[in-house]
Amino acid sequence: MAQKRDQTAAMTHQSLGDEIFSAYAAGTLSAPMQLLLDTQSRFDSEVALGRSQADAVAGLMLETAPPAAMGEDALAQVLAVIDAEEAGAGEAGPRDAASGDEKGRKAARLASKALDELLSLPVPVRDMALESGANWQFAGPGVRVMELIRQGAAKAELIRLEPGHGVPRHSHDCKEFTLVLCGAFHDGLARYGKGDLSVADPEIEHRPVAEPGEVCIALAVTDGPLAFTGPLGWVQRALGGMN
Amino acid sequence: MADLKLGTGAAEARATHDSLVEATARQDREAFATLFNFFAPRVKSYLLRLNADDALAEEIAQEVMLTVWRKASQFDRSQASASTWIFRIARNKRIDVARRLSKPALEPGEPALLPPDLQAPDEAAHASARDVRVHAALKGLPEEQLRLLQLAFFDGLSHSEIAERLGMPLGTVKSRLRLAFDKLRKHFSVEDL
Repeated sequence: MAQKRDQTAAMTHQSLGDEIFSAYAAGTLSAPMQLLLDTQSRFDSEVALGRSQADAVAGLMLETAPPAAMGEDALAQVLAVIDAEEAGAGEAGPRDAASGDEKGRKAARLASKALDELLSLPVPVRDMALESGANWQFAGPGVRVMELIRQGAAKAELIRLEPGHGVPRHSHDCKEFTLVLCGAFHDGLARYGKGDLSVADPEIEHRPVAEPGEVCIALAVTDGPLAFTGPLGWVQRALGGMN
Repeated sequence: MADLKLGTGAAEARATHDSLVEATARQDREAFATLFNFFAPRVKSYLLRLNADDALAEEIAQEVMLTVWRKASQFDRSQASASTWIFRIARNKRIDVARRLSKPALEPGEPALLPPDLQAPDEAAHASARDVRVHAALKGLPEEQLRLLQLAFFDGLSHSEIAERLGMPLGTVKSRLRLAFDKLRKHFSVEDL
């Protein structure tokens, strides 16, 4: 972790900085970083506030944006889809999470041992873990990981440490954010409890070890220092069909 | 850039939008059409700003409005104003589409890939009243700070990209944005959560 023991306790509860909120609002955060922010807001009212503030600002910007002309039939087309749906002849129907939810929960039932543990996690992480089938992978003695999202170099995964166990010493190609969801770990430099965020710079080698007595589950996100790719990044390449 | 110097009536317009979404929840098609005519072109404008081509921007704007129809019953004006709610839908739709296009190997409907669509019910309250205050605060900001907020919050530029575009030192961008954001921050409180 980036902190040294002699730094203040506040360092174990790091803020992600202002810029992340505007990136969140604008939609340029990578999905793993978005998950990190969503999850952190469950623990930290400052983060929750920053996030809703950013959304409100963006909403007002939308309201006052100069309109871009829509095609003449645009509304009629949408109404036609609505008609078709209501006539029961709907196309795919709303592609919301409902059905996937059910599928995920079923898969999760198979991993019933881990289920209670997962159910205690904050909502965005819990739902993703369930939807992905609660698929823990062995990653060394007493260590399991579950990948939640991978997007290019950015990745979000859950790390589960049995008491007294830790991930092997490692360094990173890019910044690593670790948010403790339950239990606590110590990385030789500082202690991180529930809701604490550790930010490890690439050059830092560390070895988080769960404290005795309780399983520690953390959300680990790797990404660049500010994990959005900006308006010329993947979002635009994808949307604009460039490259 | 967005015209934030709206005249009087902005608060009334906002309340009207909220009511229109509520009417849409009761399957009122005229209300929906009115919402569509106001928001679809603005959602499209948001997407165009991010370099989507015209056809795709139009299609996503239509999808966004279709989602507004389908999910109108989940709208709660005490949690978010209509514009904030619709913006969230637009942002999530855009991320969704980008992921679909950039990761063709993944199932498009993969639930794990869908961003949480709506703010959880316990997350915000009294949002409309707050938005009125924030809007007033935005109007009071110097033009330059408004422009910076717009580039950061709506156009999605990073601080260094803004610095580059405006030919302004990075430190200046950061401090002015900080200043603007702090002014807005006064109008939010933990009670809003």
